[in-house]
Amino acid sequence: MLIVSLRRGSALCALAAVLAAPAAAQMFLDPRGVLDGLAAEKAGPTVRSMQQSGSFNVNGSQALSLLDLPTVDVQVGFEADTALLSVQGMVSLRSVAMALKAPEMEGQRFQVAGHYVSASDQNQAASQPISARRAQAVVRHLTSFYGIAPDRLVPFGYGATDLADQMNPASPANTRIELINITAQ
Amino acid sequence: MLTGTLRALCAAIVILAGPALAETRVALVIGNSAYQHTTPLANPENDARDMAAKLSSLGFDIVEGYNLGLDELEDTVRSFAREASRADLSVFYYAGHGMSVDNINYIVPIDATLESEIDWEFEVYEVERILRYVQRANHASLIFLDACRDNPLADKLALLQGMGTRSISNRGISRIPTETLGTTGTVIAYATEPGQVASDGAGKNSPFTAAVLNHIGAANTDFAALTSRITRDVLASTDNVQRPRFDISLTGELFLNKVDTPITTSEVTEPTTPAPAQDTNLAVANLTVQTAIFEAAQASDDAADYQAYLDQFPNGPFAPLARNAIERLTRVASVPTDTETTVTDVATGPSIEQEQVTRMMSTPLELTATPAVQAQPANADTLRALNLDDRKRREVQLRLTLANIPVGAIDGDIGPTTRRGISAWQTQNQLQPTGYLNASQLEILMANTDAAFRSHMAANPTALDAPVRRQPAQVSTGTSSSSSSNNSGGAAAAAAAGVIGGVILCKALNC
Repeated sequence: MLIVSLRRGSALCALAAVLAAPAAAQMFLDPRGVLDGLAAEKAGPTVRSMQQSGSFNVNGSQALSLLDLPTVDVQVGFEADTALLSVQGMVSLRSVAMALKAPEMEGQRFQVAGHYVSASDQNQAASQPISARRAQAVVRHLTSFYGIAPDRLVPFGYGATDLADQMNPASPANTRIELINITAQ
Repeated sequence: MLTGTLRALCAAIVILAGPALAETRVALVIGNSAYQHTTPLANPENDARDMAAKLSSLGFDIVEGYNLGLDELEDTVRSFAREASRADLSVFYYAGHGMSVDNINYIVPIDATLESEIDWEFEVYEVERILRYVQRANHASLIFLDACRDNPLADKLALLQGMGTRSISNRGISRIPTETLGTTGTVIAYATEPGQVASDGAGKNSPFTAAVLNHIGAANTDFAALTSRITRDVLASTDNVQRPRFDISLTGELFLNKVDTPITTSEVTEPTTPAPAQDTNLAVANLTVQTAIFEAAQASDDAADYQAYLDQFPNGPFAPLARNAIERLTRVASVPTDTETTVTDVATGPSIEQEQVTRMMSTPLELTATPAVQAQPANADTLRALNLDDRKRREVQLRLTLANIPVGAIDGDIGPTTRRGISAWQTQNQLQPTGYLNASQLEILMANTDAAFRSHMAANPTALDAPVRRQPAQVSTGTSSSSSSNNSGGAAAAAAAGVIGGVILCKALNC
């Protein structure tokens, strides 16, 4: 199965190939899909024109929902309603780490975007802190265990503000981690 | 060894090495029936005498003792220790009452009263002490503990106020951490799953000992193959109620009865059992263990888990299935199957090779304490920040237990005992022993105990459901699943942990 992230109405589809064995089984995240989806040339027209005019200045500590940046969705497992990574989540991050350490990603910077919808509170407020903590947990894990430089990753919690599946807030697709390439080219 | 050479020379005929007579074999056999302060047991003495006779016929020098008080037990073990130091293969067989307090296993001598919360420790004998003598000799060893019978003395002990919340099993021993057994080839055989009650038997022998006696002398049969026959017999004679457990980490074949008659390969084993694998690096475990691990792999459908099975049992019955599964998963991973969307320009050239990806997929995740992790504080605040709920705290305790760290009861209470365990675990993992976890440390613990944990949960789905906190005035007799988790692990965990050691047969610890 391929998980496609359609970024903010732009024409850009950045995608990560997430290959799944039969339903509910553990997924294996192919690092090559991550690498591919984050490639700088995946930027959409808005970002490209900003890059060209020199007005692109993104530090990652704000919502990037309006920008057509190269993005991949990663299914990172957490324990329900916590920011504790599951082992499956850590296995996914091992793939992410392999991608981030590939030579062509050297020096590139990413926003690590946490998305989370609280089951009890789908009107957002309770969702933001957990989404932020999840993003922080991903950054900590990648920098602690895989030696990714901390200044390459900026955690940010979107809460329930940017749902992948608007029609169905409870969808698991809404609980996800995105990597967004924010490198100025 | 002779066997290998001749096999190489002559494909059709296998000539087994001349009776292992060059090899020195020593057995310690103890049977305690005549308990002075509780109901005597009918069978342990018979069991032990029959076992001694059988082992003697297999070329063992026997150090034996029946109905031993503590002093005689000490003396007997001391003589064994001397003998074992020169042995190539040693067996320890115990039938009688055993018990476990805070996961430490004890043999109960016949003169024990267990009436005082202070004195009891001076009345019993630590099983692990004997294992040290076995291990010091640096040779393969088999330990049979048939001590899983209902133990009224332990019940009495548990009732003493002074025992507080110590975890006492009235069903004999708990599982022995296999890491204590060295790397010389080990089998630990228990009459039943630790924490379950084994039958003393209505006849002359307990069902377990009867089955062992029946099969242990089978000619030219690898011990690993015997375990399934023993299991089959015990299940049959107990209406499937009692299932022996074997923690096996042999590094090669072990023949208790080698016969040097030239025989053709097809006659080496009984037709009812598969031929023992000939791979000398084979680690074998019984079918129950293999099934649990394989089922855990199926549940996750993760190539790394199938590989974990193969690492343990390269020639196991599920090995072909596991290999097929890995091939399937690897193929799926390398060929995007969804054509709805296009994977565009991978043309940049694969800076990540297929081989790298395949290797990563088939390697279980293992995290190590990097300098960055070592630098992260771990204290009461970081533990609190993890906000672990009750179940997760029990999970932490269970995972520590599966890592062979004693933490006392799996009760969700991160108290002094658990913190001591955390410190021990931290030391093992090159971390400051603070007794408190932080997020990265929790991740190391979770990742590195994953296979063992999933095997355990597959075998004990309710292991984390109910706290095993013992009520002050009663012994928790009804929580076999939780007490077995308390006992850390089970064979699956041991196998998954890849321990290599000697043979311990726990048949006779009347658990």
